[in-house]
Amino acid sequence: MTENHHETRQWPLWASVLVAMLLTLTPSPDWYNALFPGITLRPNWLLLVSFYWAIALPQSFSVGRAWILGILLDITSGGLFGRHAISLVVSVWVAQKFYLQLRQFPLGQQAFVISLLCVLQQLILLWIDGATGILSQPIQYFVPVLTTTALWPLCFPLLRKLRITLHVR
Amino acid sequence: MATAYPHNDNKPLFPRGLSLNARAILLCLLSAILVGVDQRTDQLQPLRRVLSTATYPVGVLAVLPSTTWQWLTGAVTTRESLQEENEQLKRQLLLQNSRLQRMDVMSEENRRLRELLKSSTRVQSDVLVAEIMGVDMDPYRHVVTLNKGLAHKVFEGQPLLDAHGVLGQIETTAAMSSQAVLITDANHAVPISVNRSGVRSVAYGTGHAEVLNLPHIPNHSDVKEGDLLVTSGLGGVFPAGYPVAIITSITRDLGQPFADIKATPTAQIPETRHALLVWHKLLDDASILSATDNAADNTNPDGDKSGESGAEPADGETATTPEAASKPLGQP
Repeated sequence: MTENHHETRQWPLWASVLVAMLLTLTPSPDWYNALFPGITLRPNWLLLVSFYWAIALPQSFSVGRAWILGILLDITSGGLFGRHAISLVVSVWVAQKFYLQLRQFPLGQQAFVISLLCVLQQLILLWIDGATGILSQPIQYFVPVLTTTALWPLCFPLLRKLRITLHVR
Repeated sequence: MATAYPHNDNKPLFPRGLSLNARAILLCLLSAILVGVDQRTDQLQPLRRVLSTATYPVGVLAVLPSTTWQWLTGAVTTRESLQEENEQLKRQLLLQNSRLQRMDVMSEENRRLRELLKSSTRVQSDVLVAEIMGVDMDPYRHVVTLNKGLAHKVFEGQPLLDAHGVLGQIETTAAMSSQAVLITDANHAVPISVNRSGVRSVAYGTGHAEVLNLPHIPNHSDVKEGDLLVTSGLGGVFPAGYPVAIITSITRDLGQPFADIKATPTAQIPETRHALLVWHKLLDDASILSATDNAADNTNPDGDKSGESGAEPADGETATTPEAASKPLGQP
């Protein structure tokens, strides 16, 4: 065993989370707005990244940290407090609960789980928005499910490479 | 899969503290309580302000790519296109200036008429240009982040305009940034009046960037397609007279008491990058009359008070005496 066995190296984890946050917050470019007015195709980056870390390092990426991330997203995106926090906690909870099984799943099956979690997240957002009276276009909520699922086979090897080459533990 | 995942070395055999399920359920409950409290009260506003200020750098980082791209495209613009744009802007300025001249005459006339009516609804406005830093990722929540905050005296409820009309109002302020909810947000409503006929109503956001809904206008009201809707000034958030939307469709169902009216905002909501923050204050009677008295003194130097106002320039601003107040009415 190596000498830095007990040290934890986690900055790549938080760096990837920060990148996901930035990708979530960055305004869509003009050409996109012109092409798809009012349609959000933006994948749920935070779900992708937090799902990966939740199954790869369940001890480092806990539900508590997911909750803090969700609160940060609520602050920066300007919705109600706790709206994203609750949806992120639920998916990280599921991922941590079954992380041993989820690790063994082939990529396609993992993507399927991701799509279910994404639907669940969007449903939670839909419920909260419906309960607080700002519901407008229910179908719109589920467009990101497609892009999020499609991106998992790309995100997974990338994050895995990051974890292995940088010895994140 | 030998190197696939690290051994769970640091996983304790007997985990201390709460179990995963307990923690997750607690956090979900906590979030639900937060949602409820935030929805019903303003109690969390100070916390939100502090956290928004703390997360400001993240917002700046998030817009970095788009600002860099803008800067780059600006830097490599050719001389020809710049010249062309310059010409165009000059033409536009000329046009706007000529309109502004007419506007000056009209506002002067308006002022005189208001003096005759002794009306006090005059609004003095101050504006500041803010840049839109970020847009909420949800298309169903129309919220934008601006790069001006408490440091620039931005306040909650402050109206926001663009070059073409009303954009929205400030919802949360932080030290260096603020968040504004747009008039098209499904949770927003703006009091309006029809510019042509004066019919008053409220325009509701629908969550579509192009559509406002006017559900409270009776079937028999004097409204037509193409009518301009302006802010009515009721409610006290938006100053009166700013364009809001243009009516695009009216469906009159005789079985219903109200017409189904849709309007499209005049502000260019999806593509706008800059917004105007407006400070407006209603001048009370005294300050209007003193201001007009000041103006009257300037235009009529041989009046009985000319020596006095010449000796002390500040006098005109503070004069609220009855004879000074009644003086403008005597002017031709």
